[in-house]
Amino acid sequence: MIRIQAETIDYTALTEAVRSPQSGAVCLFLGTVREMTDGKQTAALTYEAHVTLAAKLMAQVEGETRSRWPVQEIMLVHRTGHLGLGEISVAVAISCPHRHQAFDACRYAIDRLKEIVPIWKKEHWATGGTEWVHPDS
Amino acid sequence: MVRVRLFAGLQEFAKHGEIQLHWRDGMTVGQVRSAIIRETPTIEPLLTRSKAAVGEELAEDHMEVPDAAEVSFLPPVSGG
Repeated sequence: MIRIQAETIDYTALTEAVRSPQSGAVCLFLGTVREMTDGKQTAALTYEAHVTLAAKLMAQVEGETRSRWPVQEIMLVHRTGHLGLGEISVAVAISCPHRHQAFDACRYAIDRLKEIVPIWKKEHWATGGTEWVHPDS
Repeated sequence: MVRVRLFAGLQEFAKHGEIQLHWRDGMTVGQVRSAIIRETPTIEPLLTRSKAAVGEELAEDHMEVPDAAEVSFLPPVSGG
C-alpha cells in the first residue's frame, strides 16, 4: 500500500500493519530531516509532490518490489509540506518470510522511490534563504 | 488550451506554477518546452534537465499533446 500525506507518519502503526504470522522478518526504513548537509545547517524542509503521478509511481515501486521478493506486506509513505529537524519524511515498512529478503526488498524500495517518484525537497537554511534540491545526475 | 504545470525549482523562474498555452494541432511536448523557454529564457538549464508528463503518463518530447491536456515538467527528483 502507498500513501502521500501531509500528516505526521505514524511508524508504529505502519510497522504493525505489515506484521503477520507468515512473516519471520520485518524491516522499517525511516528517512528523517537531517540538520547538516555538506557543512550547511538546515532549519526545515518543504516537500512538494506531483501527487497523482507520485502515487502512480509509488505503486509501481511496490509492484517491482513484490515481483522480486516474497513480500507479505509493504507500506510506502511519503510526507508533503513543511517538516522540522528530525521529522520523518518517508517510511518503508516491509515484511517477508526471511530477514535477507526483508532487508534487500526494503533497500530496493527506498532506493527506487528516491530515483523515480516526483517529489522534491526545498532546503530552508538556518542562515536564511531557501533552495530547491535537484541532483545533477 | 494546454495547462502546463511547473514543479519545484522550475516555479522560481516562471513566477507561476501553472501556465496556459494555446493548443495547436500536432503540438508536441518538445514544442511546449520550447514555448516556455522562449517566454522565460532563464528556465532553460533546469527545464532541459526535466522530464515531462502528459496527464499521469511520462512523455517524450516527440509525443503529441492532445487539446485540453495537462503537461507537467518534473525537474530531477529529491524526495526521501
